Amino acid sequence: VTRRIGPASVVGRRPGIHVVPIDREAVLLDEQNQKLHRLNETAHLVLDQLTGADSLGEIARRLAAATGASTRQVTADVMTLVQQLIEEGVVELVADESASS
Amino acid sequence: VPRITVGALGVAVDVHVEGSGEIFDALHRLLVDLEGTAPPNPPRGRITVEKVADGYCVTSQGRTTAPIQGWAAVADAVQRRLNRLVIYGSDHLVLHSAGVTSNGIGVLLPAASRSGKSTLAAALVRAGFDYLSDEAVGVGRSSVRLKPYPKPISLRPGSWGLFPGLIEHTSSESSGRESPALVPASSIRPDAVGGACQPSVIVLPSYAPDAQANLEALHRAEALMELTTHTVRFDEQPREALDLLADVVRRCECYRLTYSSLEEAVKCTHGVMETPA
Repeated sequence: VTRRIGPASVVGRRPGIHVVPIDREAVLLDEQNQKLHRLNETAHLVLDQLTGADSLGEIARRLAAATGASTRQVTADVMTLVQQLIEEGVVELVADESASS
Repeated sequence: VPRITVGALGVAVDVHVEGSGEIFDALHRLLVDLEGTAPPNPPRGRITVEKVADGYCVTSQGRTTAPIQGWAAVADAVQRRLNRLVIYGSDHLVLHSAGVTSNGIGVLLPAASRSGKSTLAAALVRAGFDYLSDEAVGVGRSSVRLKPYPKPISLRPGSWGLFPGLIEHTSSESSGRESPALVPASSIRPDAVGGACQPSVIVLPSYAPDAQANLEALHRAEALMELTTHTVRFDEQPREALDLLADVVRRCECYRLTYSSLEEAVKCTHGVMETPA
């Protein structure tokens, strides 16, 4: 069962994911599953923020402030992207602040 | 037993020829671009060509072929075994790629087997580029320089018409019309073999009948993903291989080339050399 994420979710990179930045994009090596992923500039930017420290809502607010885009739109985009990255096994849910509060 | 020592990518191979001075001389002429490049104390491989009642047997790594008839088929068998010894015996990171160089600028042309990269390499050499390989190019693990494997260029019968003078000369020695013609780059131009060089351009060539020549710039990340699929034994040390490939790609301008006309493909490659990274 895939757990849905929300703005209170905290997500971090899974162990064994090797990130190779190239220009503003990145190529990821999933050593455990022997798979390669290509991240475009936006996905790379978001992945860099997924350190397991801040919630997705905080990350989205920060990115919105940096880019001038609306927080609502950035939050939706971040959720979609992070959900994809979870399904591909690149990142994992570390904590859900809404569940603990 | 008469012996020819050849080498590339840090590997030396002794080719022994038993019972046929004619085959020895022909192999000597064929492998001329690989002679004198064997490092002094490298891992050594061995290939033996032996005359038997109904042809020639070729032995390497404990395996012996059934008798082979005809010079072209013998040459092809030797070349295949040489490829295996060099490519899989090398300590370099090895790319399944053609490669050429000009004024120290290295061009990688990675592509799958039978995709036309040998034909393109031959045309580029004829146009004045120096030859690295039509099959495998090494990458120095510390230097990040491209290392040549200047094996004879392997031209399949379908491309012979594109090189009339050259193939007439080579096929006069051939009896097996099914086998590719193997052409030393130095028979195209005497000084055609290039040396180690910096990677500067990556062109992913793709032959498509009737296509207009089209050169499309690639994101380096896309080129890196492509290079991983053309890397020998990538899965054995994927992290190290990926890091080294990224070092190569960061030094390069990257393109995808679709073509049907060899002349246009050469022109496009000349064009990208004018604006390297």
